[in-house]
Amino acid sequence: MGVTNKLIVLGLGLLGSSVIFCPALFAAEEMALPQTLIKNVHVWDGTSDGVTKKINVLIEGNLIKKVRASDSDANADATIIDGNGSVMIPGLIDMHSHLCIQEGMLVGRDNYDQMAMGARTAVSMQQYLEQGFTTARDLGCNILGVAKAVNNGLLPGPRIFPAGGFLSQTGGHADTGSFNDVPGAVDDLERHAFGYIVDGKTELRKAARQNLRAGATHLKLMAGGGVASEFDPIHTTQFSVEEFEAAVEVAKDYGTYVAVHAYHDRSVNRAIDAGVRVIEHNFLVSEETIMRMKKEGVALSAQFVMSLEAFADPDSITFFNPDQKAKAKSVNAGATQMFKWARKHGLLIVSGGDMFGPAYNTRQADNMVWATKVGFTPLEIMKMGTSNAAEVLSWSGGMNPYKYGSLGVIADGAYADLNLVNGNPLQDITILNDYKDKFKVIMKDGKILKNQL
Amino acid sequence: MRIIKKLLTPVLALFCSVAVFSPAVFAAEEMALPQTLIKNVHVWDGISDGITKKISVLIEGNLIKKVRASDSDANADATIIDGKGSVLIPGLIEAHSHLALHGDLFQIRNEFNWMYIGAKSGAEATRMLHRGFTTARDAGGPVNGLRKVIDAGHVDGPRIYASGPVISQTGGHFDIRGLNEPNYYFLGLPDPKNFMEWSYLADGIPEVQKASREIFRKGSSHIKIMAGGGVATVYDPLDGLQFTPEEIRAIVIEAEKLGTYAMAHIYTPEAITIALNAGVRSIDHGMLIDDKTMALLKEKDAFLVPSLAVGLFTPEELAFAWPTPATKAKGARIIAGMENETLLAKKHGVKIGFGTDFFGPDRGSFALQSLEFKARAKYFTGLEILKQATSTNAAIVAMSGPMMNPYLDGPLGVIKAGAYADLLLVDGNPLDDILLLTDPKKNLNLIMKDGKIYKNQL
Repeated sequence: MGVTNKLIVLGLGLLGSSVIFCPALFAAEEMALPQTLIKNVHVWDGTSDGVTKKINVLIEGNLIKKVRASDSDANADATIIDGNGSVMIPGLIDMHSHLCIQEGMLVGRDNYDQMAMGARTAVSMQQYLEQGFTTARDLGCNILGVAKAVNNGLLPGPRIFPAGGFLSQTGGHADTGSFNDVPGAVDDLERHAFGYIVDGKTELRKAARQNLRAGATHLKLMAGGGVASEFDPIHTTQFSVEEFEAAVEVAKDYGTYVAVHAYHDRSVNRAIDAGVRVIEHNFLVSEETIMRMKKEGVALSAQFVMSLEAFADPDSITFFNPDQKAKAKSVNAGATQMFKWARKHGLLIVSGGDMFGPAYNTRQADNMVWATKVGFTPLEIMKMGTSNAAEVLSWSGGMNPYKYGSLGVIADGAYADLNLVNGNPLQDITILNDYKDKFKVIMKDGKILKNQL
Repeated sequence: MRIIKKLLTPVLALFCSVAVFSPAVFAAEEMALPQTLIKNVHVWDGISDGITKKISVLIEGNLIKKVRASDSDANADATIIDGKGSVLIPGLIEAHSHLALHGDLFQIRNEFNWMYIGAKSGAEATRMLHRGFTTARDAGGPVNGLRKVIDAGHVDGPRIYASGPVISQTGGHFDIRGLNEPNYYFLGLPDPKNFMEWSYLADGIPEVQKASREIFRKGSSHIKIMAGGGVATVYDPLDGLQFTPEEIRAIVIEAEKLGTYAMAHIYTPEAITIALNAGVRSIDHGMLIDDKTMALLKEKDAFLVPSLAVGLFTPEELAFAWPTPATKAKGARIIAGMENETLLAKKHGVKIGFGTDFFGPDRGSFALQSLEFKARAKYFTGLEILKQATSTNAAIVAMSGPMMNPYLDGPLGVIKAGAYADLLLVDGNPLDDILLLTDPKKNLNLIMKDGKIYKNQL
């Protein structure tokens, strides 16, 4: 965090010509923040249609001080980096992470403990940074302690916007209990704030407040089922409109918003009726619902890999039964159509992979790349993972841990989260997958994490 | 874990000259394990008095296959590493770590959560491995889960012999409640702060039995008893006895039932005597021991695990750990006792383990672990110190026995055929200059654990 201390000496001319200085104040002092001047880069700033010609960008402390800086703008002792014609893009943002789910949820519950999951989360966070993802919005798990640590500089990792524990009804999508559980039973995941099983406005308010108390930046509710779920088939609608409204009210009281996991018209529309602002998944909705989302300013958080790749060939998912396979097929078809409508109607779309665990940890950018399969251009996709994402993140209002600069853009006063890429992702979006070779410099908060120039 | 599958085809000659093959069995198949041949190294094997001339060591899978291997012993596709005259020694073993301890216990309990502690502990485990410690006996803290993810290959770190939660009496060395915090047992309620499994408070034989059994259920390889007061803690006087002899014996019995042992945190002669008579096999710290008690330790064939590196610092430097006059005074007492302890240990010829007891709050304080080599150089030769950190410590952790020891493929702490391929290549001879090991970043050319290479700067 950038701190410039300027304490101004007050001259109190109280008695004639004598000047009295208050002994508690002291002389003006300005502490020079370290600077980095990155030269010779084509900048894509997160919003424009293309890249600039070669320019310089001056970073001071943890913020971008000046885009199109001249040499003389930098201090004598600034670190100079010659970008050598690479393309500077903002640090990437994933809008649907589950940093602490590194095994299937039930394996995590039964075979490991939260300490072990914490150790694996640390590895995953490091992998995010290595892929150029400098911010992650976490949509549910026991991440609040880790988020607080990262956001206070105590652990390395992407900036985290955490929802905290999932909010799910009994038998809802985050009900990780066993078949024989009776109401009120609490399993080890729930004991550790992985998720809260709540029914009724009172319980929902309590859990929402508990999350916000621990630093949640928004709330995540499970509004429907899933393809593989044990207790909640995909056709279900979860939580009543009053329960949603209770969560939305608590969120608003904290200056933030609610996001929901929902697949179909009934659940999505109920959520929007209650004032929910972001829909995750959304794979089975009708064009009418898409149009409503546009009209009411509801954002779509898009999981391209999970819907298009994972369910492209359900017959090959050996542990799926025939019912699950059929559902997977319908999700695949529905998502393909839904994304096209979303593009057609100009929804605010952010990219969030929902990709976690060893099979997916190092494929975060693939979620963005797969958007090309349903017709999105590289420019549209890059915005999903930068400036669009930053806009939704700003809806966290007072709960935003990063209020002192903008994210997702290269602009004066933005946080110095940026990547220097060998090649132009606006022309070839697949470059994002080749981060090991093509991402030459990765910077977060003004600190260089990688420099392979 | 080593897997060699050899399935032999049984031949069932049932009908005169006709051989019938059971359809369920198939032809013999041997899966070749990857090999590494490390050449041109002087080997110190963990036991001998000196190093060999330059030889080669062949590793297959996760074990050492042959010491003094020839080129032809290796498969055609073996990875060849030129050790360039480095000294190959067994991976170091730490006998007293606290991988989960990242600061003041009270703060940990109230302000941090499992996941954060896990994230930090994983990172510290990786750094510990990079300091050359391929095995750590953890002396208390919720590290059984960490052990599993390291062994599963998800996080880089040493093998862990976990104490898991320690057993402490009410008001004992790991009673980490705040002053006014109630004893939830008296209230009949579960502890809402969830100790995160740092310690089980147990009083009386039934409670210590239950606590011990719970600890082993978690997969701990041995049990850690707080049998005396501590320096940095405030409610338990350094000279006080903790647990009755009967309680300690009951805990040891639970360990013995599972073929393993108990270690104890103790400083004072009276407490050590009680522990030894109850069957405790590893006496950790022990700085205030006297001659008579050291003789008993020898007689019982127990291990003594001192930690001497705090003696390298001035009281001012240790103010972060011992901030109050009371803790400072206790610290001064134990530092003053170190010389006597080591002299008595040598006099009686007791087995001495290498434990550092360094922990958080930050990576700098964990990294002081390597300074223990320097601290011991005042009292022991390089050879003696290296044995403490390898073969002697290996004997300590092996006391976990066949039921609770997680690492049974081969011996640790030695370089010989059949031992685990946990080894270091040192740039120089640590037998001659033990201080080489105080700068692992510079002087450890190669770190191998379980046959996998984690560092190679040859």
